[in-house]
This record gives sequence, C-alpha cells and structure tokens, in this order.
Amino acid sequence: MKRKTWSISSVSNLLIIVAIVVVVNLIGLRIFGRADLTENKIYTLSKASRRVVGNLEDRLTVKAYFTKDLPPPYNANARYVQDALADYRSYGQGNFLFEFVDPADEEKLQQEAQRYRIQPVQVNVMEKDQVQLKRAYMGLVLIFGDKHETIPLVQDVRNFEYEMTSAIKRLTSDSIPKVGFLGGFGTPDLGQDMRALTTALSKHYQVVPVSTLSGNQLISPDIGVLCIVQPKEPLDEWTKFAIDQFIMRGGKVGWFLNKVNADVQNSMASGIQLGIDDVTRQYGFTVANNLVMDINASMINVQQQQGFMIITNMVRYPAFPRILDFNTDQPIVKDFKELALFFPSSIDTMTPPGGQLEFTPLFRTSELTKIQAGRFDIIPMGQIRREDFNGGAKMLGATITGTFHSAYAGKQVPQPTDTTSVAPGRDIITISPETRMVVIGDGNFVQGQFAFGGTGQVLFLNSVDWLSQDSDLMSIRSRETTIRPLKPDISDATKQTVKYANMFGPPALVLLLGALRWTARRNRRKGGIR
Amino acid sequence: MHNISYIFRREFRSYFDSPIAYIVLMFFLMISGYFFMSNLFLLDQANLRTLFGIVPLLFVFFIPAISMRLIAEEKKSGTIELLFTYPIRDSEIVIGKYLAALALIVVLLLFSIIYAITVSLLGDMDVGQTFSGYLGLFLMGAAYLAIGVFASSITENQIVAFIVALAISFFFFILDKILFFVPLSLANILEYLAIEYHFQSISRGVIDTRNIIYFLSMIFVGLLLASHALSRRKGD
Repeated sequence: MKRKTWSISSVSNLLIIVAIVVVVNLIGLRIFGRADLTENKIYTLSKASRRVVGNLEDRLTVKAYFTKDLPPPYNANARYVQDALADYRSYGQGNFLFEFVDPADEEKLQQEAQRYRIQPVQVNVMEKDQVQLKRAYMGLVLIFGDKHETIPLVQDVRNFEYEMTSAIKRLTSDSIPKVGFLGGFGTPDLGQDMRALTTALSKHYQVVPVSTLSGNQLISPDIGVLCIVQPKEPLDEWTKFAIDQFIMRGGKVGWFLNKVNADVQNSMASGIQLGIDDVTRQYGFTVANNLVMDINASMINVQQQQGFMIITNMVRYPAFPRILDFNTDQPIVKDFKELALFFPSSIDTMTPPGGQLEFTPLFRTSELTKIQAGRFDIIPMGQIRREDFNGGAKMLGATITGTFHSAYAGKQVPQPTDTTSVAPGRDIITISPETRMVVIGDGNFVQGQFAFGGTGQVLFLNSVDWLSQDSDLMSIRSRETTIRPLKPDISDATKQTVKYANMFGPPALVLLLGALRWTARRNRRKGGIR
Repeated sequence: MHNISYIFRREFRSYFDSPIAYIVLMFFLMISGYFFMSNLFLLDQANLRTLFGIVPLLFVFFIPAISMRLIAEEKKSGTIELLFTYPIRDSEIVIGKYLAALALIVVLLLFSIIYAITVSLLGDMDVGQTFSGYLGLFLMGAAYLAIGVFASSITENQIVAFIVALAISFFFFILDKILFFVPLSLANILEYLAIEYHFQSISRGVIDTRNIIYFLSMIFVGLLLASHALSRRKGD
C-alpha cells in the first residue's frame, strides 16, 4: 500500500512522533485534573478545609521550606504538599498564597527557617556510589498578619490536611478558647496540685476555674471545654444540672475520675460515692467504684525497717498500672507507647435510650488484672500472686461522641446549692448538638505528686486539644483513619469455604468453559464430516 | 475500522480455539487467588490491596505469554505475507491484534471481579476505590501488552518475543523499586517512567490525568514502534 506524504517506516518521522508524546507528557504534568473515587473522598480537600480557607478575610501566606530533588519517598511528599497547597489556593479566593523555597544553598533562608523552628532532617541519599546523609528541609510556615504557625516536618501526608486546616484556624481565630475546671467537691487545687498542667495549658488556652456553688448560675457559655478532675465529695444536684445543661448546649467535657479514695498513709483504700452515676449513665458511661490493679505496673520505692536499718526497696506496685495497650487510631493516644496511672477505676459503657453515641476506647490494662472494691488495703509489700490477677483487660480511657440526651429531661430544675437563691424558671435543654467527651478512669496522674512520668500530662493536653476542636477538624481526622475491617461474625467454616471457593472456583470455571467450547467444536466438526 | 475488527475477531477467536487462553487464565487465577485469599482473613481488611499488590508482578510474566505469538508466529509461518496482500495497513494489523489480546486481559480481569464481589459481601468495601483499582489494572495491562506487541513484531521467534517483552516489562516494573540506587538527578525521571508508580496512584482511588496520559503514551509508543517494525520488514 502506497503512502502519500509520510511513512511510519521512516525513522525520523518516528522520532518526531515520540518527541511529541514526550512534550504532551511534560505539558500534562503542569495541566492536570483529578477525580477522587474513594467513598470518603480521602484525597480531596474536605468541605471543612474549603470553608476555612474560603472564609479568610486577609492574606495568608504559606512559605514551604522544601529541599529540591528529595530522594523517594520524600519527593512524593513534596509533590503531595504542592498539590494540596494548590487545592487550598483554588478555594482561597485570592487570600491564600504559597511559595516553595529551597534553603539548601542560601544562608539567609536557613536562618529564616531556623527562626520559624523548621529544622533540617537527615535523609539517606545515594550519591557517587555511596550512601550519603543529606540535610533536607520538609517544613512550612503559615503567616497571617503578625502571627505565624509552623508545621516543622511533613512526614506523613495522611494528616497534612488536618495540620494545615487546624493551623489556619488557630491563626485566624481571634479569641483564645477557654478551658474550665470544676472547683470544689475536693477537686485538686489549680494553682498548687495542677500547676505544671495549667502552665502548659495556658500556652493555648485560658484556664478558668468554674464554681457552681453560689447563686443559680449555669456554666458560662464562652467556656468550650469543662474538665472535671477527681472530685472526692458527692456533687450536688445543681452542679450536676449545670454540667448537664453545659453538655446540652454543645459543651465538651473531660471526665478524669477515680472512684476510689486511696489513703497512702494508712495503706487503705475505699470506694467513694460521687452521686453522678445516674447522670453519666445518661451520657453512656459510668466509672466503676473499684480499683484496677495490673501485674504490669510501675515500680515504687518502699522503705522497710529491718533490725536497726531502714532499707529502701524497689517493688512493683499493681495499684499503679503501666498502660501499654493503646488505640493508636485515636488522635489523643496516637503516638503513645506507655502511660502510668495511679489507683485507676474501670469504665463501663452503655447505650442510653434514644442516644446516638459512638464509643472509642483509648487504652486498657493488660489481661492480668485484679479488681478491688469496697474497703481494702493497698500495702505495697503484699505478695503478687499471678493467679489472683484474672480480671481480664479493663478499659481505663474512652471517648464518646454523638448527641447526648439530658439526664434532666422531664424533671424539675433542681434547687441551687446556695439556698438563698431561687431555682430559675428556665427551660431544660433535652438534647445536645453533636458533641464529645473524654472519660479517663483516673484523675491522679495530672497532679503534682504523681505527674512525674510525663506522658500523663501529654494525655491530658491531647484530651483538651481533642475536645476543643470543632467538628470540622475532627471530620478531617476521622476520615483519614477510617479502617474497613471484615464483618466480625464470619464463622471459621464460612472462612474456609470462601477461601477455597475463591482459590479454586475461578480456575475451575475457566476449565469448564474450555471443556464446553472444545466439545462444541468437536461436535461441529463431526457434524461437518457427516 | 472494518479491517481492524476483522483482525480482532480472527485473533480473539484463535485465543479461545487454542489452549493458550485457558492456560493463561487458569494459572493467573490460581496464583492471584492463592495470594489474595491466603491472608484476607489475617489482614481482616475489606479491600483488594493484596490483589493489587500481586497482579503487577503477574502481569510482567503473563502478558508477554499472551502477546508473544501475535505477530512473531505469523511472520514465521509466512501468513503475514498473505495479510500484506490485503488492503490492510500495518497499523491496522497491529491495532487489531493488540485489541484482541487486550480483550483477553479484560476477560481475565472480569474473572477476578469474583474476588471483589467476595470482599464486598464480607465487609464494607470502598466500591469507588476498587473500581479505580481495576481501571488501573486495565491500563497497566494495556501498557505491558503494548510492550509485548512491540517485542513480537521485531522477531519471528516466539520465545525471543517472550523474553524481550519480559525484559522490557520487568525494566519498567522494577524502575520505581531501585530509585534509591540511582543518582538524584535521574530518580525523578525514572520514577515517572515506572509503570507501578502510576498504577499505585490510580489504585489508591484517584484518577489523575497525569497517570492516564502516561499509560496512553506507553500504549501509543509501543504500538507505534510495532507498526514501524512491521513496515520495515515489508520494505526489505
């Protein structure tokens, strides 16, 4: 067949076409589109982020300090960050700008990065036939007016959007969120027992003592998070009502409760009644009146008189469990490896009537536990007998999210504690908007004498952070951590059947198909011969 | 168009008239089924990630087996000369044969949808992501097949065609796994050339024009080179 103008057999024509293909690919790298087919739109900027960036009222600049030509897999992160920032920009209505800079060769940029607390990290690079360490920058800073927020290292792109959007939110909100602490009822003193904690908290929050003991006041609506840390005396009805209505208005509550009062001096412990079980049951949980002991426990020093001498011994103390089992999908304890608790009580969860609640365990003890209740001794030198520790793993921390129903629905407004004031004739809110709680079966770990471990404070701060976030940010986080397990109730027999059916079924089907076609052809051929 | 469809039907039928299609399908499904099912309940995840992990490697071996005879055999038996006497363009021969082999890959993927159905019955599978993964498998298979067709067009020995296709396919397969060992200046280019890099991007559940352009380019260049090789031979 004759070709008129050009022929595919010509090498020069071929090269031209290949060159065009290369150019098309290069252009395609700059002009591109994406369609996210995943159910939760994991790879698309979430509605929450779009809204946050779309509501910017002033210019927000992102300066990304990224070393050029990073080796894989870091280069993929850089590309992801670039794509994500471009997405933010497209929803930013002109108020979101970003630029990429490489501080590698520029002293000035390095100092600038340093000022924003962006440190270079060491990455392995193959150069001239040997593995070399290279200093790489992979951080960025968001600048908004005279404020800035830093993301010092983008290591895992899965929570990049979360970090970005929460940083933008922090930059653009003009009020410091308030965290309230319930006072009275034997709760620890903010200025003394919890000083280290309140100091750390006050970097991001305004710490406010909350008292419900005078007048007929409810909890101030500008408080976002209320922490109830280890009361030792029963709460009165008015206080419970105030907390209830706080929740019903969308307030977030962190419960840090021990239901055991440990008297270290006399080595005795006894359960305490806080009178709140009827209320918390309505929110889907109760903290049990017990002490959970775990063989996996912290060591303590015990002094002992032996003849003339006082000997100090290190002993394992089961009443101070060491927690190793964390639900690392939950942002509060995501990076936790270990946590020391002190005289903790276990948490029971239940679904209250009509409630739409979701429970997420945070951590639990080992399987080897011993549950004590009533009045009992807590002498450290007691023999630890393994066979006594058969209580099984106990949940000591959990989060609850959803819409809560009031414990006071259909009831009278209770009498204020201060008897001179009158119960207000106000309406009782009976159902809360979407809100959340953290429940920890221990309130000791945040207090001076026990807060030596360090992770306890992190747990508390993370809990407050998590509680104070708005649901926008949570939706980004939870979207990214969705795991899709198989149905839990598949029987072993079904599993075996499914397994072998899928292994041998399809090949058998092919064989059958082949046999059918072969027979058909043979019959046809026979027919043809006749 | 008519010529392409003629070549297509002729080739596709011959796959199923000979044992090739059945052998390829059976072994492919046995291996992928084994790897997929052996840890599905262990991982306890309602997705096809294991399948999408093993199939790229299987394709490297199976697709050259599908494509090796396409042109090489006709060259050897001389029937290609017969084809040349018809008013059919070289590119039409190549495209027709390519589409026939591609149809076999589609049949293969249709069989493997049984796995997807199984998983969706056992748990809450992300359908969009799975669909995207299958699209990725199809595009990746199509790219490997274009390499195979090219390999088959440059020789009249099927074994040679198989080995050449395997070598080129393996090269594109391994590219993104050896990036650590290459100088930085090359790494980004090699990564872009790597087939699996683009497949993985799609199998996450995101259809990106950059990946699509890459696969279409691979297919186009492969078929172009095959047509070129065929036309050169005729010129001899």
